[in-house]
Amino acid sequence: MDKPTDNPTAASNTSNQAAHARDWAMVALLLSVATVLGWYLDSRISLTSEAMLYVLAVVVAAYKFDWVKSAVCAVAAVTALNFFFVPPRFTFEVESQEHFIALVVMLVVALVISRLASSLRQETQLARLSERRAQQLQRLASELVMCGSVADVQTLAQRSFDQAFEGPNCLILNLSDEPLQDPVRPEPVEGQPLTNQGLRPFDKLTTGRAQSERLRVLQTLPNSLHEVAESEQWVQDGLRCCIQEAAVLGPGTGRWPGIDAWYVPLGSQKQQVFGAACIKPALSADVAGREHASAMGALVGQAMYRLELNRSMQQAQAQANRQQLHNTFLASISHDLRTPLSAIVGASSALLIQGDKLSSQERTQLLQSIDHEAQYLSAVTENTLQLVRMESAHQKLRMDWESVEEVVGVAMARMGSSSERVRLHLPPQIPLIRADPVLLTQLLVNLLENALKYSMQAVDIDVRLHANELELCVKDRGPGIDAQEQARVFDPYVRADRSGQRGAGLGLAVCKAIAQAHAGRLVLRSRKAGGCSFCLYLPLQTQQLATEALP
Amino acid sequence: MSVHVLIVEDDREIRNLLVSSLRVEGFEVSTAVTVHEAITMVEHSSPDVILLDLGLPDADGAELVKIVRRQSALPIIVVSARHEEEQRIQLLDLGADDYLTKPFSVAELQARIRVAMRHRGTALSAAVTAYDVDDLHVDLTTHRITRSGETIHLTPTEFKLLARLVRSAGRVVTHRQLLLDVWGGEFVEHTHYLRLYMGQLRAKIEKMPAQPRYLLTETGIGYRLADI
Repeated sequence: MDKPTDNPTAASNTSNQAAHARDWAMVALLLSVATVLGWYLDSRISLTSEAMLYVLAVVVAAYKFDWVKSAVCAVAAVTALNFFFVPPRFTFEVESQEHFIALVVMLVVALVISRLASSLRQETQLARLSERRAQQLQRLASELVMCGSVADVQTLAQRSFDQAFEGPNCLILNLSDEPLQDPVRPEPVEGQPLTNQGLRPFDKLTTGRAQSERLRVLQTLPNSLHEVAESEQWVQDGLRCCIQEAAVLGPGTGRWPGIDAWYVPLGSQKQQVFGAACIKPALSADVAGREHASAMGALVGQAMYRLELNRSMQQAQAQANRQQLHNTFLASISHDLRTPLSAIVGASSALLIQGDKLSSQERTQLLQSIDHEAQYLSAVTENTLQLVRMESAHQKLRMDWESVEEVVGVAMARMGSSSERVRLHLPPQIPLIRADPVLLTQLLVNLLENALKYSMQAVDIDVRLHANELELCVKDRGPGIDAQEQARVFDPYVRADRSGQRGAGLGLAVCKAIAQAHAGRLVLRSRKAGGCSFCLYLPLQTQQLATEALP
Repeated sequence: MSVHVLIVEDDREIRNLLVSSLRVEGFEVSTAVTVHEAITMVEHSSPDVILLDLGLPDADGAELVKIVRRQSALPIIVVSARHEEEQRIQLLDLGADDYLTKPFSVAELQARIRVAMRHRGTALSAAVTAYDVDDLHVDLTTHRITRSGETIHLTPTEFKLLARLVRSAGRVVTHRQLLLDVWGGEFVEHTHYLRLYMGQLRAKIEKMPAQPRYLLTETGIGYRLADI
C-alpha cells in the first residue's frame, strides 16, 4: 500500500498504473535473477536445484504481488526453466517424460504457492485494516469526549469520515430540538470528480432558506450545474430519510441498494438520531467498511447525546435559577409593598373613622404619611417595571442626542429640596451624547437617591471627559459598601444595607441594566476617606456633529 | 362663569377623585368613559378644557385630538403613565396642549388647567408678546430681553427659540414643534441643534444653567418655559 489511508482502493489511477508497471518489472527482475543464478551455478547444481531457485522467485512474487502477477510469474518461471535448463536447452521442447512431469508438477506447485501466498497477504492486509479501524474508533471515541459543542463534533466527525473513506463524504448534525441544518461537505479536493469543483454546494451552517435560495439560483444555470443541484438534492433526501429511519441505507443493506453511497445514521435507535452521514464509495461486499462507518456514526451519536444531556441539564439549572430569582423577587417586592401599604391603610382608615376627633395637626401628619408612602410605592413600582422592561429584551431604546447638563438638571429637579446637598462639578463644553434620556435620568435619580439616603453630608456629581468616553460619578460620604458586597450590589433584589433603610434592591440593578443598554459601564469604588462612588462610563461618539454649520 | 372641564378616564376611582377635587375648586366637571362618548360630549356640552387619559378601552386618544383640533383650539391635557412616551409625544404633536404623568398631585393638575385656560384661543398666534417672571423680562415686540435690569443679547436663532417658548409659556413644547417653528420642516429630526442652542440660551439667561429656573427640560418630550 502506497498511501497511508485505511482504504484498500484509495490510490488514484495514475499512481496505480505506475505501481503496476513497477511490480511487473520486479517480476521480470526476480525471474532474471533466478535464471542468471541458475546459469552461473549450472556446472555445480542439478536441474532440481535450478527448479528450486525458480520456485523461490515464485514464492517471493506471490507474497509481494497480487494473484494475477504471481500466477503469471509461476507460468513464466516454468517456461524459463524449460527454455534455459531442461534439455534440449534453448528450445521449448522436453526430451524425457520425467522432465515433462516435473515441469507440470512445478507449475502446479508454483500456482498453489502463489494462490496461498496472495490470500495470506490479503488476510494480513485485512487484519491491519481492521486494526487501524479499531484504533481509529478508539481515537475518535476519546477525541469526542473533548468536544464541547456541536460544531466541534461536526468538524471531528467530518475529519474522521474523510480519513476512513475516500469520499466525498458529508454529514449533518443537530441537537434534537433545533431545525435541521444543511449537510456540510468539505471543500472540493483535486482529483475528485469534476462536479465538485468551483462549487461548494453545502456551505457550513447555512440556513434552510439560504439553501433553498441557492437551489433556486442553480436552477437558472446551465445543465451541468443543474445536474449538480439534483445530486445535492439526492444527498439531502438521503440524509433526511436516513435520520427518519434511523438505519443504514445503501448497497448491501437491503434499503436503497441501488445508490452509490451509504447513509449512516449518527446515533442509535435506543437514544436518538442526531444526524446522518453520506459515505462514499459504498461497495455492497465491503461489509467491514459499512460496519466501521456505522460504528463511527454510533460514536458520534453518543457524543451528541452527551451534549444534549449537558444542555438540558444546563437548561434545567437556568430554569431553577430563574425560578429562585423570581421567588426572591416576589418575596422582596411583596414585603416592600406591604410595609408602605399598611401605613397608607392605617392612616387613611384613621382619618376616615376618627377624623372628627383628631386635631388638625394630627390630620395633616397622617395625610403627609399617606403622601410620603404613596410616593415611595410609586418609585418602587417604577423601578420594578423598568427592570422588567429592560430584561424583556424587547425594550427599545429611544436614543437621541442629549445634553449631559440637561439630564443632570432634570435628575436634580426630581430630588426636590434634598438637591441642595448635591454639588455639581461639570466641565464646560460637554459634547452631546447618544442616549435614551428617560432611562439615563432614571439611572442618575437612582444613584442620587441612594447617595442622599445613606449620606447626611454633601453628595458630589462629577463629570469628566476622557479620550473616548464620558465619566459621570455620584460620590457620597455614607457608610460605604463592604468589599465582598460590592460585586453583588448590582444584582437584582440584593441589598448591601443592613441599617434598616427601606428598599427593594432594585435601584442599582436598574442602573446596571441601563448602563449596559447604552454600551456603557457602571463601576462602584470605595472612597479613601469613607463613602463610595458610583461611576457611569458612556462611550462618546467619535463622529462629530457639524455644529459650526448650524442654521 | 365657571370653567367646564371634561374628564375622559375609564378608571372609576381616579375619575371620582378628579371630579371631587376639581369641583371643590369651583370647576364645573363632566365625565366620559370612552373616546366616542367624549366626542359626543364635546359636540353637545362644549367644555373649556379636556383631560384625556391615554389607554382608553375603545380607541386611541389621537382620534379625539384630531377631531377636536379640526374644529377648535379647545385645550387638551393628556394624562399618561410614564412609559407611554411615544403616544404622549404623538398626541402633543397632533395638537394636544400639555401632559401630566401619573401619579400626579391635584396641585399640578390645577396648575396645568390654569395654564391651558390662559392660552385658550391664543394658540400659536402672536397674542402673547411679553414674559415677566422673577427678574427675567422678555418683550417680543421690541426684541428686548433683560435680567435684573441688564440687557441680554441673543443671536437671531436664540431669539426665535425663546420667542416660541414665550408664546407657549407654562406649556410643554415638543422637540418637533420647536424644530419645525424655529428651524423649519426639514430639520425636525435634528434634535442636536435644539440641545446646543438650548445650552447657549441657558448660559445667557439662567443663573445656574445646570439647574435652570426658566428653561425647563421635559425629558424625552421637549421644553417648557416656567411661568411662575
